[in-house]
Amino acid sequence: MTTTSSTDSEGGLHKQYDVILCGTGLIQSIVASALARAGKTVLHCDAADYYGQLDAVWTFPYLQQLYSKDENQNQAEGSITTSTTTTTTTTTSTTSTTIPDTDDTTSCLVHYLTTQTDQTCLTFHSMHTKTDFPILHIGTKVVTPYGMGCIEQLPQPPQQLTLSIALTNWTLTNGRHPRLFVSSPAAQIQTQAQVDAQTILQQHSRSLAFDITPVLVYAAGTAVDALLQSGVAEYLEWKALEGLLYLNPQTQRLDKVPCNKNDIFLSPTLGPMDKRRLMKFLQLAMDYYGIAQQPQPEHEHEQHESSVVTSLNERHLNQGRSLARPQNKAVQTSELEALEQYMDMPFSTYLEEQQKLSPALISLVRFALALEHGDSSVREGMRQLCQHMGSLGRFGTTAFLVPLYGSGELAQAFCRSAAVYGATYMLRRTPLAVQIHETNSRVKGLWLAPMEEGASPKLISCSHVVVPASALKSSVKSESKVLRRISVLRGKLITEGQQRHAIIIPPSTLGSSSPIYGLLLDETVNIVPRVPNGCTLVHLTTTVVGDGDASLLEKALEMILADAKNDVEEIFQTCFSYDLYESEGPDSSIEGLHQVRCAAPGLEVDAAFEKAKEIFSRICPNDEFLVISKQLETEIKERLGDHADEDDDEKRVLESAIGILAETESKGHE
Amino acid sequence: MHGRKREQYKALQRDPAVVSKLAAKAQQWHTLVREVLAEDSPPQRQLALTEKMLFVNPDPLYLWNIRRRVLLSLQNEAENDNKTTFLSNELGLTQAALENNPKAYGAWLHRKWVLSSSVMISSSTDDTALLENELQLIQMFLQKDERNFHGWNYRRFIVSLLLGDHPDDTNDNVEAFDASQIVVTHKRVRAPATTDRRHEILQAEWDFTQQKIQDNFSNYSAIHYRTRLFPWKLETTFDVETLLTEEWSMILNAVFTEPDDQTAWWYAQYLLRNGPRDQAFYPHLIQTQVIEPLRELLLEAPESKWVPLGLYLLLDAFPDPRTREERQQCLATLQITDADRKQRYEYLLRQLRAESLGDISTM
Repeated sequence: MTTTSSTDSEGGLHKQYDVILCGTGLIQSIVASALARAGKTVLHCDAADYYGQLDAVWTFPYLQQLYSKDENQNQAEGSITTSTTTTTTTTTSTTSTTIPDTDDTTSCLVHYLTTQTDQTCLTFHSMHTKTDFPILHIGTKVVTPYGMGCIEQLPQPPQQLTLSIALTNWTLTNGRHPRLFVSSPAAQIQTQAQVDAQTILQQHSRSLAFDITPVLVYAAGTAVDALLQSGVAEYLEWKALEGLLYLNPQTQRLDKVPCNKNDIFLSPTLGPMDKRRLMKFLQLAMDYYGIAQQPQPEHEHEQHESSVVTSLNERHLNQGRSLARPQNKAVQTSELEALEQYMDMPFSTYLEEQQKLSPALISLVRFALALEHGDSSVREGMRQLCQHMGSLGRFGTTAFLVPLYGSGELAQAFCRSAAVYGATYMLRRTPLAVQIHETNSRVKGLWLAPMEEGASPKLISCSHVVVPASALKSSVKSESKVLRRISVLRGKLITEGQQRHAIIIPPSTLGSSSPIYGLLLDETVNIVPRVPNGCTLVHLTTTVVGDGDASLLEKALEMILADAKNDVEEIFQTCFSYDLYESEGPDSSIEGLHQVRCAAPGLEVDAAFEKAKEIFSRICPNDEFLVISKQLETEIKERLGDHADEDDDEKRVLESAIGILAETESKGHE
Repeated sequence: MHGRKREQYKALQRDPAVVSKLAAKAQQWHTLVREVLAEDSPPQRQLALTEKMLFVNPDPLYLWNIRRRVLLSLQNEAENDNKTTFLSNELGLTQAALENNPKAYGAWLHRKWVLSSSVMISSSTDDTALLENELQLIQMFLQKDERNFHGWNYRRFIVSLLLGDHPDDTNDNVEAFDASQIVVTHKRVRAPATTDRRHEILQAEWDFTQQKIQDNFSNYSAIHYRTRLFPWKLETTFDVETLLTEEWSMILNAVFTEPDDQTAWWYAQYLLRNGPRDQAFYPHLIQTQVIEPLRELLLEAPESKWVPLGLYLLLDAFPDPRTREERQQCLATLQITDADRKQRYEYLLRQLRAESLGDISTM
């Protein structure tokens, strides 16, 4: 990858690029990779010293460092809420660098950019590492110098500190545990919780990684297609999401989201009539999906068939297609025709009036099956639902894939692939302003901050600039904010099998304005440490209006933990928020200036790929999106080679049988 | 082998590269067949060659026959130690063959022969662990293809061995699962299991069908096995009412999820015929917990064929003059929605009319 080092100041930098991208967020990175493949000269810069912006993955120390900086500043300014407007001293010096006044840089033709740093983007609401573990009581699991134990008796009165502890690691011949009597517990005895917390946050903190925007990918969809088609999938590893859960507003318990025929059949919470109506509606959705899918040839999907799902039987059962009707039942064409008529109706109204679903079922369909963020039309709802159903049964039991090394990998992988195709990468270079052509309101170039203190900014000419909407001073902040909470738990919430689960909390459960999305990950994903008693990383994300209620996600976590049957406890948490921007900025009239606007994050990232595709096709209307070059394709084919003969067991065995013949014959002749 | 496209497979066979490869293999195969079938072929070599050949193609019965003949001829020489080697060898070979083609009749048959012949296992050996291992293996096979009837048959065969059932007295025995008893000249006799052990084994099988039905309630094989176990379950269950409530509730869940899935309806018909009809609670249970919800379902899914048919069959099982009109209504609907079987419904309607005339004449 070509990042310029600080000593080699402007080395390798051209005077002119086709496209300059600012910020290495996921969307820009995808666009950069697509542009580089299409043969454009690309410069991709980022003010930070890591890739990904808000799509990055951060380490535990970095997160703590960031928070303490944020807090110091707030204290210095004597305020707690203004951290969005603060800038660090180093960034102040760069922003104050004036762009030299030359003939064509009259101020109206220069669009200044705000500096994009972590400190300016994120507002921290809290960060807390648990240190006060409850005092000892009967039943508390403790760690003694002789192994693990469980407190059997507390001294009476409590001042007299003599504890009786059953050592659970040992069993005597009479089947009981040996007892340990301790006179001063404070010195030798620690609670299990305390030891777990120390193990995770001190000894194994390097194995913890925090995604700023954790994402999932649909097993079939724009994202997977783009990853496979571009070959970027080779840089990444994935695991199937194990379960999709739904925090039932009525029971306040976590239920499995019924996605296929058998889930519906087995669901303990759905009544018989609910089962019938949900099944009928999902069958209709599959018919609708079938019609929408028809122009696509089937074999295209078969190509990428994976071996993750072990047998055909399993695949069929998990698939949305298990919803298919028995052969003796015809497609309800009248229902399909009716559906076409209601396309612009609100989805919830349609489900209620036409499908006669109960309010509980409507909430389930809208938020857990169609993954609706807010109110959407029937068209949008059905599109999302079909996307979900169509991704079932490809890998594992859910429709989603989890990146094995954190979501931050995704942006990095696309940057790498862009660099392979000749894009130039510069980290620690702050874009200052966009230069506009005098006459025709076109992008002329981009001003970059100098490498060295005191030097003057540099104008690099280009015909297109891709910037995050948040960097444009003219962008309008939206009313809503993204609110996030990351928690580290000791122990595991779900003990059966591997724990990679998504949780959807519909708005009605906590009275939130948007659904809350949760992600539970254990050490089967390589961003969580492998520790004796287990560790869980919990991501909670939602969109709030205005300043919102930062304690919302705390309540959500409490509710999830209340349902846990295991010994789990939060030992670290941080909560932060960042702004969203209005969809239409005033700068859209400038030709060649493309804004990247983050949408409210949902559960999956397919939308980012669609956005990237949109920006790409505006810059290169005639090129294909993210295709692998012919040359690379042949190279890959050669590398994989034709191993058909080596795998031919039949041939091998037959030859060895003939060998037996020859052997015995030669013996016979002797 | 489900889900493979015939066209793709055929196209592959037209590829010249593939054709020449196959021709070379066929040539080798013919040489081997000639050698194995030769009169003077030494038995040890026949064993070695058939092993290789069956690994390539587990279908030809004559190869399995040769193998059995050789094994029988070697039986006198075989010591007990040798028997174990022979046994593990045959089990390994059949397993490999079945992984190659899970529907090879010859391989399944051979495995059954191996386990029931005293040539392979002395009658004195305790083979419980071996048989239980077979159950594990078969579970694996059924995981790969839950519709493999060979697997289900074989499971019943193993269970009947575990139970120590004798093929001769199985005709009237409701617990004899294995319909395809094979002819074995040196049949090994296992002692019948104790009553407790018997219950333990059958309960495990009952739970196994439960698991399979929960995996996919359209699994006809699993339901079929459950009906084979049901008489035992009915006889030994203390709380019959709970048992039937649970079974019917499972049927209702399936029927509400997919009214036109025939498997659940088939089980419903079985339970109607074989349930404890002589006990007072049964008609009441059917009435309140099955018929009532089905009436609602009929309103919800009028297009379905099986809802009116199922409702008719349920009502007809406990004929009541008060439901005659409803039964007529069901049949009339079916005449329209399932026109292919119009005459059948006509016949049933005629019977209904005869029933009503019979009522009048007795009055």
